[in-house]
Amino acid sequence: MNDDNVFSVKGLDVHYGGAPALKGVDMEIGPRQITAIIGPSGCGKSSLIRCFNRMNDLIPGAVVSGEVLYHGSDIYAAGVDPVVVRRHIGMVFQRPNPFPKSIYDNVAFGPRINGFKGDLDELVERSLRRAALWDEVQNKLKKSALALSGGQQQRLCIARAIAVEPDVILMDEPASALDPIATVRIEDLMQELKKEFAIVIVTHNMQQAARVSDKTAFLYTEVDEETSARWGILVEYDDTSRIFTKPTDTRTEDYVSGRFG
Amino acid sequence: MSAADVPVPAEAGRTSGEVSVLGRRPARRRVWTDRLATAGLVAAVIMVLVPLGLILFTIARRGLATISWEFLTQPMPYSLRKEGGGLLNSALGTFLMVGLATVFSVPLGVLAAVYLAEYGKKNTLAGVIRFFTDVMTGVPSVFVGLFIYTALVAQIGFGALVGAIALSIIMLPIIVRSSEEMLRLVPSELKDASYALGAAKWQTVSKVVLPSALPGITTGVLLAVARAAGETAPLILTALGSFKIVTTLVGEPISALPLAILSGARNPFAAGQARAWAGALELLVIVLVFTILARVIASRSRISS
Amino acid sequence: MRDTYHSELERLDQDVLRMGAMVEAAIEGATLSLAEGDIDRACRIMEADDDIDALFLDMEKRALTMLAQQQPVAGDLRLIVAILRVLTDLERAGDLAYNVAKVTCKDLEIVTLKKVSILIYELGHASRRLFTKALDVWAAKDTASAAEMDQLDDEIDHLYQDLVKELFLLRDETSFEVAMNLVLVGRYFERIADHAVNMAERLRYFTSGDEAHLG
Repeated sequence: MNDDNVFSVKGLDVHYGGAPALKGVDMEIGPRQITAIIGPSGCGKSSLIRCFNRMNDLIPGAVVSGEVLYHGSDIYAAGVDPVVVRRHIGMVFQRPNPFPKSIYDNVAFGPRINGFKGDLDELVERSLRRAALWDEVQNKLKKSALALSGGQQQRLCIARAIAVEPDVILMDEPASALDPIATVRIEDLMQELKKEFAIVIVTHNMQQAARVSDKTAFLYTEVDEETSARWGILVEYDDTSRIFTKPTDTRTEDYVSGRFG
Repeated sequence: MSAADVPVPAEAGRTSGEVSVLGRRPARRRVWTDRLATAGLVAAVIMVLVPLGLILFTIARRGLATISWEFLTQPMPYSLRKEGGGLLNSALGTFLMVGLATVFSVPLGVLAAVYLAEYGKKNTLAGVIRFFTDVMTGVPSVFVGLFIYTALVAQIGFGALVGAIALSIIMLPIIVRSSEEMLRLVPSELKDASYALGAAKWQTVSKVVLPSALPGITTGVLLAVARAAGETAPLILTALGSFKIVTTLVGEPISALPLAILSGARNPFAAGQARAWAGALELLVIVLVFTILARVIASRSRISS
Repeated sequence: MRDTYHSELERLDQDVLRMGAMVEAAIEGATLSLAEGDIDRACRIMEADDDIDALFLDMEKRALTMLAQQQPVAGDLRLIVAILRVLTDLERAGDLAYNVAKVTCKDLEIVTLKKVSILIYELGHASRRLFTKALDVWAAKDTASAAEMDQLDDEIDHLYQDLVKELFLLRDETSFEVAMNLVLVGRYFERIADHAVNMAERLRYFTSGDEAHLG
């Protein structure tokens, strides 16, 4: 096993209230690269990414089994505090969700919660710069974050996530609520960020996955004929260039060619 | 598309060879049903507004005659027959008791709401709390007065404190339920964002959920205050009423505006009655100010989000 | 899903065979016209090359439009890329057949050179057979049968060398102009054969996704 990996997943199963959502996922997320998770709706992409920072714990009835190793340590081991886990892993959501506070307070929220003692101004500026937002907001840090445009809000959420200095950023369809120009800026930002962070992105936009990612994981649904239960499985996980030029599995081929959705 | 481009509809009731896509004018019958319905609704609204309007008008007219600087700053005269004087003691009593009641009920109510919205959610205890809170909103306020009388006044006598406790029992359910609603309205995405940053539950609640719900909670509190300021029945049995300006909390009966209005209205002397009307106007203004303030805060918070 | 796109892709694939058939006919016709000295036939073939060129331009445009608008990936992408490459081979083969027909129009009276005209006929026929084989391989999308093509290609090389030798032997009886032109015709047929082999190579990219160098 390559210890360089940020995440190492083995036999991951997710159930919600007894109904299976994801079965038998094995994959590894390497550092400083972008991994995309694609698949038709309802195949468990969001469930998978939420396992990486134990956000699934917040859903009542969610049961996660299997191993998720973060730099070699199982984050689902007994006695592990999910709050501590989440401090090391950043997350950005589909719809920009800045707090109804000032821009400064949004970025400073994470560090303050974690008892940061150093120069907060410097940390806020650094995070906003890395999120390619500093130039646009440096003169209005005290203004409400809600006054920003959708694309700016999303970059603010990215700044907020990286302010706690994680080494991996999870993104659940980060650009799907944004217009095309804002989307391109987020994608460009991801290329910059991957120099320092591992990025895992869930996207239903295949072209985005093709453009942006280094590796792609394709999830697909399996159905139990008798019970009509549906759950997601990992069908193929490979370099993005291979997935989009010569995928191994016909299901992958059909999906990326748009033969079903 | 200019007016010249709009095809002219055929006359209603007339058949013509070519009928434009935009159709004829609506049939006669439909227009009249529409107008009848509108008229009916307007009439209903007017009927509702009339008594309200009359109340406001009457109070204003009668009260304005007696309102003066002297009125607002002088306590009640010992002889009810006397003219002049004011309701300062009652106004102070209202402020004191309502203020205390707010201090008691707001923290308790908001924390209970936090429990219901964030921690208890669907469990049995939360269900029980909600049920009893709903029941309490419907309890006649005189029952509250009776209860406090038996429980406390019989032991420690009439006074501001027991009056405030009675008022806080009235305010509590309102604050709990409205605060719970406001807390529930905070989008779960904000909580997700907070958790994802590594915040524990209490940190999320205190630093994200409560601040976001604050405008809504404030509205609920102000409305509860307005309600408490006008309560009479519970105060009859706990504060009792007085002529003096009272500052002690226990053992000394104290006046409040609703009490003063009641006793003044019962008064055979014109002077007493005049003061009652003025008191009614003063109370009305206080209630209106709080209610309007609540609405302004509510609408401003909606705009900013 | 995406039925319009996929049926358009299929049509493009079919049109490769259609163009191939036109080129095939041109090769056959050019060979016969030269061997028999049939100038009318040669002129018809030269005119028909316009149709081949027009089809080439149309198909190329359709393929590029699909690339731009449909963002094909995986198998679809490899197919369009293979088609674009095959189109150039087809078009060049068509031009080569045109060149052969042009030689006929020079009215060089080859018919009188018995041995030479037989060799010309065999050379042309062999390259036409190889071309047909390439089209079959393409239609079946099956690279297995491509192995036999090497054999045919060797045969064509031998025939060409025989032609040159024969012309050398006849150097006193034939004019320089005739010899030159016939050598060129031999080269044309040989290059048609090369293009046919290329076409099979293009197909291999589609089926295997490997960018191996042309053999």
